[in-house]
Amino acid sequence: MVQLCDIVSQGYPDIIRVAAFVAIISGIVTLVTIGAIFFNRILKSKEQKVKKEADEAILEALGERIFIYDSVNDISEKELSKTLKILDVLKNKNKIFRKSMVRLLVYFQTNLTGSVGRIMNATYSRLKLREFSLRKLKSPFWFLKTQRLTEVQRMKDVLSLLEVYKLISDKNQDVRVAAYIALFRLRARDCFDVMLKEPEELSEWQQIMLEEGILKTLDLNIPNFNVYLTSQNRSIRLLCIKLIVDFNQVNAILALLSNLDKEDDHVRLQIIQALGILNAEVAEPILKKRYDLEPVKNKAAILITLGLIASGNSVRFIKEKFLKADQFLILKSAAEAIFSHHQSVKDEIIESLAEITTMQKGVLNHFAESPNQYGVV
Amino acid sequence: MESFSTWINFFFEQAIFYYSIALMFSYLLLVILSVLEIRKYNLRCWYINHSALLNSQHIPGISVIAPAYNESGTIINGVHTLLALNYPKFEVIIVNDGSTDNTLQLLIHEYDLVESNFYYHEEIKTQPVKTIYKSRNPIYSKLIIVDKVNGKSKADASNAGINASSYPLFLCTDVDCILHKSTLIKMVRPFVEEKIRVIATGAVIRISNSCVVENGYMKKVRVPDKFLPLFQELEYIRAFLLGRMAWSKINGLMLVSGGIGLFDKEIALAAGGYDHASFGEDMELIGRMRVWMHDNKQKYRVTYIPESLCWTEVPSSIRIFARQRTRWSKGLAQTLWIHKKAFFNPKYKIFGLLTFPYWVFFEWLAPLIEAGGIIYYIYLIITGQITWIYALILLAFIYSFSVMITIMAILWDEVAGMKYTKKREVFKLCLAAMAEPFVYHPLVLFFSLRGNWFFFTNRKLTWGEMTRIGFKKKKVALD
Repeated sequence: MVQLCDIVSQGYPDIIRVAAFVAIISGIVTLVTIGAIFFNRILKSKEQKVKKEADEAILEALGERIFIYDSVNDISEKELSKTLKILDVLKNKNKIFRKSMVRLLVYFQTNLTGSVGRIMNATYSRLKLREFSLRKLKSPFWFLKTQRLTEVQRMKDVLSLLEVYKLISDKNQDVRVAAYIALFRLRARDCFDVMLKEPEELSEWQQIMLEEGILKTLDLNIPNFNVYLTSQNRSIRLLCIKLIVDFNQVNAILALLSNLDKEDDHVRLQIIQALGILNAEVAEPILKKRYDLEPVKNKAAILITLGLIASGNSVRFIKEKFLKADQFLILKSAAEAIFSHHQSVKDEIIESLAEITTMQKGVLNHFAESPNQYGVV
Repeated sequence: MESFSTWINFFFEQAIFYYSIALMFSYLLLVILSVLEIRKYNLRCWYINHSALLNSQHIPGISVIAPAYNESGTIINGVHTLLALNYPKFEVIIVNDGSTDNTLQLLIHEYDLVESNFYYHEEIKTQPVKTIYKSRNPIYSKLIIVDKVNGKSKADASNAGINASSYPLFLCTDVDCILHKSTLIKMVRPFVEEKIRVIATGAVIRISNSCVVENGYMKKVRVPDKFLPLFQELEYIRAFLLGRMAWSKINGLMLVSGGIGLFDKEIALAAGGYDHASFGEDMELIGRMRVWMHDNKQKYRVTYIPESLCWTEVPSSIRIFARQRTRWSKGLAQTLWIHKKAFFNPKYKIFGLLTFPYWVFFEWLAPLIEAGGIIYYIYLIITGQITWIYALILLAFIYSFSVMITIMAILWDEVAGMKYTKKREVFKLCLAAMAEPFVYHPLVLFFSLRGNWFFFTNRKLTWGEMTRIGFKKKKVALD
């Protein structure tokens, strides 16, 4: 190393000096990196040890002093303040203990219902853990904000509603989505109106998370989602279509149909599939009329939807598409539609298909064996 | 003659030096980009709720495709592992590629298979499919066995699996690979998370040679004991956590490994599926899918996730290692040649202007230049023209930099998941990183040259069989 340093400073050719310099730097970085690997390991194992200790101590305190009661009212004020004092000491021991405390209280609140959940909530409040968490909401880092928002919704911490509202206009979309979910979980009165004002496109994942937030909240006041189908935000319209299906809002069928003329291929595909699940008999003539205007994927979806509706009004249409199909996807979807019908209707259609090709026969046999198992959704 | 000699001297003393500097600079950039991407992924993991996906009816379905050729030693456990994946909407398609052993019989017996009326539509041309089997047992309703005539390539078997698949996404893997049970849920994330269409996603592959595996499930992860697998482990960590994560950050990925890759079926079909004539079919498919997306003016992404989700057995004998590396090297040359129109072509954006030239200059050309450099050094030694101090400094320069990059990759691995429980194992990896340039790299270099030789001379190369020790045998040894 010393020789290499001499070379860098002495009158060697530039190439050699650069090479020696890089070699020195690389050697130093390698040693530092190896140090970092092992230091990280030691740090992590220490952390794990303290975390284990914290978990054990907190669980012991909770088990011995809180879980034995059925309700907060059963605990005497003296006993409660003694318990809180013990938990407060544990909480203030260090950062790892505090984190463990929050994690365990959130865990029990999420997974236990009834009185134990309420006790956890009361403990969380009385230990003033909210104050620590509020700091995270004001953090400049998006991940700390989302973490805190998750805590808020899991602890059903309605006292933090005001802070949550402040985050619905955050510049980070993940924070905004976490705030919308928190509003749903806390059953805020205007939660849907707030979400529907989202300015950016939501990813499929964000839509799924919002959908879960709505579906998993008990006693949430569910609006008619057809009202929101006029939103300027395409992803909000897509989310509404999902929610219409989830809540089986058949009164939205007409609104969905009127949107067919305005939307792009993908949104139309979602509408067509939704109409099938909603069993929208009224949509049949419109879908058949649109059939020739649609791309192949949507044509296939129309056939499957007609099969799901299975009113008997589209039998001739489906049969015709099956016989004239020049694309495999259409053939397969038409066959699936045939097999979605009632047994007697299905048998009648198959009997009427006198002269069919080997391929058509093969596809019919495929569905005859396991109805709809291989359907294109 | 003298001017030629001067030119050669200039080439090896100046040009190659600056080439090395450029290469090292590119590695440094990859290091920085990969750490940013890994950090971003880890931070999002805090916030992401997988249960929302698992409970959603809007999640895309996945067809898991695993070709099998003479895999009687691993097939049953392999299929059990695949069927046990945690995902709400998936099917498992095993393609028996004309096995000459009892692979099919074992499957029929274990899973109570019967011939099915399943309609096989050949969207991509493959060798003929003989029969499709399904299980009579409803608990194996997700399982489909495609029995076909041997196509002499994994690509042909994978294409048959794609033809038989019903879902919009397909995961290509091998039956001997051990997948983490959350593989599908984790790999589907980019497809639903990104606002731009994702056409393929890969994940980190690790080496299972010394791991404790029981009935197809990973019980304990261990650093490989043997010489070749140990160095391959280092190579995999470096390639997956540094290279691919960095390229993923800038949407420049050109390779999603055949061991584990999730693809958009619509685009893969539009691009024509796997090329059965290619020796690097996984890389070639990504190349073709990217070209197709650009030609059709569609925005897209190819992504990678820094999670170790797949464990595979790698060659532990020189003979099999030689065959594998020669095939990879020939496959690389083939793929670059096939997609040569993308080279510095602005139409293909990052792929044409950055990724493709990088692969040409720093992946394909590097072994050729290195070999030239070694020959030049030997020439200098023989003719007595060498200045030893300069030669040693240049050697220290290359050596220390390559060790630094590998050690950094080990650190990234620690940050991304800390797979090894014992400090001793990580220390072993660090020691191996120091020995690698002298003991393992020359082998890789030699087989790269061999692959290029096979490519330029158009010599025939067969896929051959990967002789696996298998976990069954190992378990007996452990017991």
